[in-house]
Amino acid sequence: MFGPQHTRPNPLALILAMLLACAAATVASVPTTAQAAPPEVKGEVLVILAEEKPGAIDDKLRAIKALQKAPFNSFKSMKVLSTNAVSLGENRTATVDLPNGRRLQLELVERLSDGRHKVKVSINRPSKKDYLPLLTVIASGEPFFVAGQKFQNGTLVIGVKIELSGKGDKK
Amino acid sequence: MRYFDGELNEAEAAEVRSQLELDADAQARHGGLLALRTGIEVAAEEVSREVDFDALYARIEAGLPEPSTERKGAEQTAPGLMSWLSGAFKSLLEHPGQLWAPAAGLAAAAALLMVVGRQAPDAERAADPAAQKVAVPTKPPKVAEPGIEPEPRKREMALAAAGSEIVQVDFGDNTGTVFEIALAEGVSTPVVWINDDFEE
Repeated sequence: MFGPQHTRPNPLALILAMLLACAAATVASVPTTAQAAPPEVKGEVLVILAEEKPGAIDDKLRAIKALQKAPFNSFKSMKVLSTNAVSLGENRTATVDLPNGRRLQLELVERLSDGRHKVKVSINRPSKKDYLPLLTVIASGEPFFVAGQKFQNGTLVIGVKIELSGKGDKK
Repeated sequence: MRYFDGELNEAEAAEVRSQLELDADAQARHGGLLALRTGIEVAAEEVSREVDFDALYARIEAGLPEPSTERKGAEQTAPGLMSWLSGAFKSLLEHPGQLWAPAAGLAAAAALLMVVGRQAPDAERAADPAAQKVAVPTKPPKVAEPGIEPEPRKREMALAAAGSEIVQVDFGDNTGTVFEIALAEGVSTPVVWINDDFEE
């Protein structure tokens, strides 16, 4: 069978092969409704130490208008302690260790059709079940804040920014 | 009528004939039928004698269009194709070694179908409404004028301007306050302020 062939290839066999290949290619090229995995949701967690004593305002924070308004305008100095890029997804939470030993956790709850994301935010003490606090937020591209924790004669201000999605994939 | 049409056997016909001799009305009806048949036969002969059937067929043929050359060609090639196909099939059966080509085609088709089949669960999952949550924003973003689809960049900017909003807060054993910081006209961002006395 695999030896030298002296007979001319049967044209019908070739035609059959081409027809089968064409049919398979046609079936394979039919667009399926399969969805690619939804993209991860990017975000950023800014950990700021704010103090009432006069001091410097970190240059990175000058562009954030919310920090210039009440209740933050009572702070006379602000320093960025850490900037943490996070990415959220289905079955993927993000955690950020806070300087006071607690841990902030972000969980994607839902991708809204308008591009925003519903996220659950909690602050826990490691290995402890209590939380401080537990909130659910519909996040737009504008940062929201969790503040009030005491740290080094100052107050921790945590800014959470969750980017908008281009399209509304649902979890 | 069966007697008139000659469908009776001899005995039956003899019986009918004897009855006809006795029944004057029946004789009259039979005579009428005979006259009618004779008249029809004579008329048909006379008419057919006057018609030139050869000329009639010639006129009909003259009125029909000539068969086209394509049609003639198809009539000629059809037997050729059939004979070629049958010959090819016969050759394929006589030389099983030539089956490699359709076999390869089948293998390729099976491989492609397997690739498509692997994508099917994702497709089913995507199509399953139970597997998806329907998002209903609690606060519709103040974005676009009705009926106008904003451009992607404008849409993103408009959505960002719609701001974030708190859906639920649980302070647990602590207390706290939720502020809204107004950023622009009708746009605000929330601040969850914890009354935290605990410090590590």
